[in-house]
Amino acid sequence: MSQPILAVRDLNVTFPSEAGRVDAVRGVTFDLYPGSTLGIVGESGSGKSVTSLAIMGLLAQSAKISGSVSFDGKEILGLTDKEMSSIRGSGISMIFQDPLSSLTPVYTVGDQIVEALRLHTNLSKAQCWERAVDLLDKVGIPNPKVRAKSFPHEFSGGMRQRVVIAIAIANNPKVIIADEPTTALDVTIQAQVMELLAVARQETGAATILITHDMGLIAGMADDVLVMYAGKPIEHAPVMELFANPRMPYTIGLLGAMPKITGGDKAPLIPIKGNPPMLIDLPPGCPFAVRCPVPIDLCSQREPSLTPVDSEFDAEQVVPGEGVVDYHFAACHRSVEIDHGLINGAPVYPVPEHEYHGQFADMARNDRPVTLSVEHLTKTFPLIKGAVLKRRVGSVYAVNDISFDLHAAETLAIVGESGSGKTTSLLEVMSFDPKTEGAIKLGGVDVIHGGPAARRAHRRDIQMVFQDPAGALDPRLTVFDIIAEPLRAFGHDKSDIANRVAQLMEVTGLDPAQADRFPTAFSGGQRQRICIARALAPTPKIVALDEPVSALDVSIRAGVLNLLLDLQIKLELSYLFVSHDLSVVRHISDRVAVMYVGRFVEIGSTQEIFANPRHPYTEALLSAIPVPDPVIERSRSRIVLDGDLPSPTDDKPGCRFANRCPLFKTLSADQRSVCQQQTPPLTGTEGSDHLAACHYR
Amino acid sequence: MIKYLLRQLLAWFIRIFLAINITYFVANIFLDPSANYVERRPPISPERIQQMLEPYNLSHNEPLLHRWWDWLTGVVTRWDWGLSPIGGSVNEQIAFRVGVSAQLMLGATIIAFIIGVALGVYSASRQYKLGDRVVQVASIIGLNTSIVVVALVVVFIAIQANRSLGWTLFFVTGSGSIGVEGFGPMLVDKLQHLVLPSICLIFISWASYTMLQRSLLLDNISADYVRTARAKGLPQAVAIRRHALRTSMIPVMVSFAFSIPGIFTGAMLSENIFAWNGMGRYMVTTIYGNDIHGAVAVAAFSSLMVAIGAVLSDLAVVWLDPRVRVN
Repeated sequence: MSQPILAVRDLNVTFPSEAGRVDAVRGVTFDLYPGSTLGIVGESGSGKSVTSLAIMGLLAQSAKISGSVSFDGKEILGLTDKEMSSIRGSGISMIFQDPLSSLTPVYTVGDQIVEALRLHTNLSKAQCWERAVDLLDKVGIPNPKVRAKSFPHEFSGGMRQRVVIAIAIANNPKVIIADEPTTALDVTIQAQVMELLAVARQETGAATILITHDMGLIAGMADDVLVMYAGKPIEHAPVMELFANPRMPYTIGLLGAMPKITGGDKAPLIPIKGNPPMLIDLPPGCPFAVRCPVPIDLCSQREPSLTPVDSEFDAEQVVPGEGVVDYHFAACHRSVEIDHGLINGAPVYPVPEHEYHGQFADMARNDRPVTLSVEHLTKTFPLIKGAVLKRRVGSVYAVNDISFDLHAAETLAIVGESGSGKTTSLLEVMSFDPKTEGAIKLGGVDVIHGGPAARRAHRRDIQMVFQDPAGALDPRLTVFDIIAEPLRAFGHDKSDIANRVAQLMEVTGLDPAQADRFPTAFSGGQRQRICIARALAPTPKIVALDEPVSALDVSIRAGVLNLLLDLQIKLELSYLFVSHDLSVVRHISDRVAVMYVGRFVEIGSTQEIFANPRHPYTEALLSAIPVPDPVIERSRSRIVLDGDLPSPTDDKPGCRFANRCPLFKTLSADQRSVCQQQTPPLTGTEGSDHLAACHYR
Repeated sequence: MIKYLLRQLLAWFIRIFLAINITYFVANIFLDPSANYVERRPPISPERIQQMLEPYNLSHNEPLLHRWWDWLTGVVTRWDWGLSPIGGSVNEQIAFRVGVSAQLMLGATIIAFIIGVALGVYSASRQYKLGDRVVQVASIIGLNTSIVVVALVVVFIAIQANRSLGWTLFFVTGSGSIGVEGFGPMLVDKLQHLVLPSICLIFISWASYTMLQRSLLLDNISADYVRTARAKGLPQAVAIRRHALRTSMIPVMVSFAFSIPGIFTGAMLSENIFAWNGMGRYMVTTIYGNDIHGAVAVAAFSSLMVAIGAVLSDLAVVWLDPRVRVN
């Protein structure tokens, strides 16, 4: 094997903080070979980003770094900022997470690419511009000559990430570090960017470090995987080996906690209990021991080091001084006993038991009462022009004529990309605004046209849980006050409130003894539980959930999803669930509505939609999601859509999806004109409740 | 863009016009020129006082609306801003004093701005290090020191210096010596008079720019796009200068543009201490002297300066930030 282009040995990073020394990275070691991709996975706070910034020399000066990083045979740790500057951008370049903020707003994108080129080449300004336009073309920016003179705010998020990639590959680097490159993007855009990254890697022959929390991306892109926990690498193996036979309980848990897009029905997920530790004054022993399902005494006494374990996929490596060893490292005292997720024959994570009974459990959907019925809901925002005399020049059709029924103890998920109008639909349903176009019926009563009394009476029947639990809770109120607030609003008496709050906290998996604490004292997952408890306080029949788990880490997410499923059965709740994450939707919902630019393009039972998607957009959405299984992920073909979501500014007839539709491209001219001139209605076969809005499916 | 500017200018013109006229009536309520004669020995009868004021359009014998109309037509048709209670021309006073104020304040303000921004950048890029702490302490002192105190110390040192030299290097009062001829000697004389008040003004005004620039730059230094710039291969100092400074300059420039009205009327204390007959001193004089027309003219001038400051700040923002250019 050739020499590694980047060799990291025993990298340690510590930061001073008010509370004490933070050990952000503890002993990271890996080799990166030319042309290969190393995936680093871990949850927030696991030290994966800090590792990459330490390699780049971009950490704050207060950070203390020790160990060794050698690039192309030369030690680069400890170089001055000036010396590192000649390596950054030409030898090692980096792609950051949030494309919206990673370009300087006051310079054109062309200027920013030219700047990168001029730093490391002797090309003239004109030559650099030519190359910049070339690069923009290469990363798929249409009309690059004109667009090079545009400012970042004139690009969409996906387009900006393309520009960031163009800057990263401008000087043909030998190593590209991609730090969560698609986390801030929609799935269809994520698929575009991942494809582009693969192209960029081929183009430059660079080695890539892909940092992500998404096991699906790792499965598709990485050759080797390094799993990090609490600042320390805990497992390191080739990708096939790691997914087939993880040997550290945390890795097993991480894989088990992810809802699978390919998976079956509502089997409970396997959560990892507890929360990741603070990296200040870590006690001796394995930092995962407190969350581990199979700890032994040794675990809390001595921290296991990363040692070779038997590998099953011919993965061997020559280690100087030790000869040939199996190339699968795990940091666990019991890794010898662990085999394919089993320890001594029993699963490492016992499957939690859930009781599925209740009066609706065996009842057919149509026999259950309808709790919420929405008919022809439309929400438009006016487009205003003129500084002094404002006049309406058009409308934005955020939600355009949607209808659905929600039955008791049922979950309807609305999925779509950002800007598709899914959250607006939810807020419109919640608002009870008498000016709303369409009808919203709660338990058969029209709350839009029913007058203030009906609205007031039904307000408590529908409650909401928001995306970001940190922002949704008033930091100045105690948990008790937060949960009690809706009860007070509905006039419950004092002793009743105290009982009910304690009961709600218990039901949502919180300790009632902590009711007098403030939200900041709780972790993200616990805060979302507080939000859920608050939503449940007025005993609603329907809970609207707006991306309730997207702000949470994978291991925490599983617990909250299990809680939601549990509560649905116990309390016979209907969920109106909004998400862009289809694997979560598959896991939790009974029915799915796919939304595109304000309209439903497909609606049906979860089984039907995932097994036989009819609309080309649904098909593309499903295929864009990475599957956390390298065998499946690498063998399937993927539909990658071109372009971005169109803006919903007019309501012309015709199919909105036509300009991105893969099916449209295969149609004859006559067929195409139908797509362009007639808005397809939601239709389905006789007697089926699986409807799709496409002329040709 | 030009259309936008013209619209802004028109809006400002209307605002200034309204402000001046409101000031006229307010000044007439609060300032009474006849009060200047009350203490006269031998006493002058009220009728006589009103008679004396009549040629200056300040007498109560005429109704207020009538006087206002006369004054306004004078301003609009002849650019005549009226007369003081003793018959001096307001136009002449303003013309002379604007020049004096500009000499005193323009240089000091620009130097304070440059020093302030430079130190702000310096201390932000060395956050929590010794240099940053020193600048922080200095700017807290600068912000909290009264110009009177600074002037006392500066004047004391200057007098000591003059004494030990045996000749007058620094003039402690006035804006110029009488009888100096020729460009060279005039310039030297002017500088000798300017140094002390300028030092005082710079001392009290640089710190606010430093504080503002430091905090804004610190917000931007940790911005993602500065990290991108460094990842491209820009050394830290260059990345800060090219990428963070420009975005963080926007609010500082706005604050600078709005300090322009202060240039002319904000230096009451320093003009009094160093005996410069500038606009600040004139403002105080007109109010004490019940000089209605003078006070209104000062207000008019100030509002014109506010308008210029606002338009300049708009231009600065447009120049620095492409995002606002679209609309």
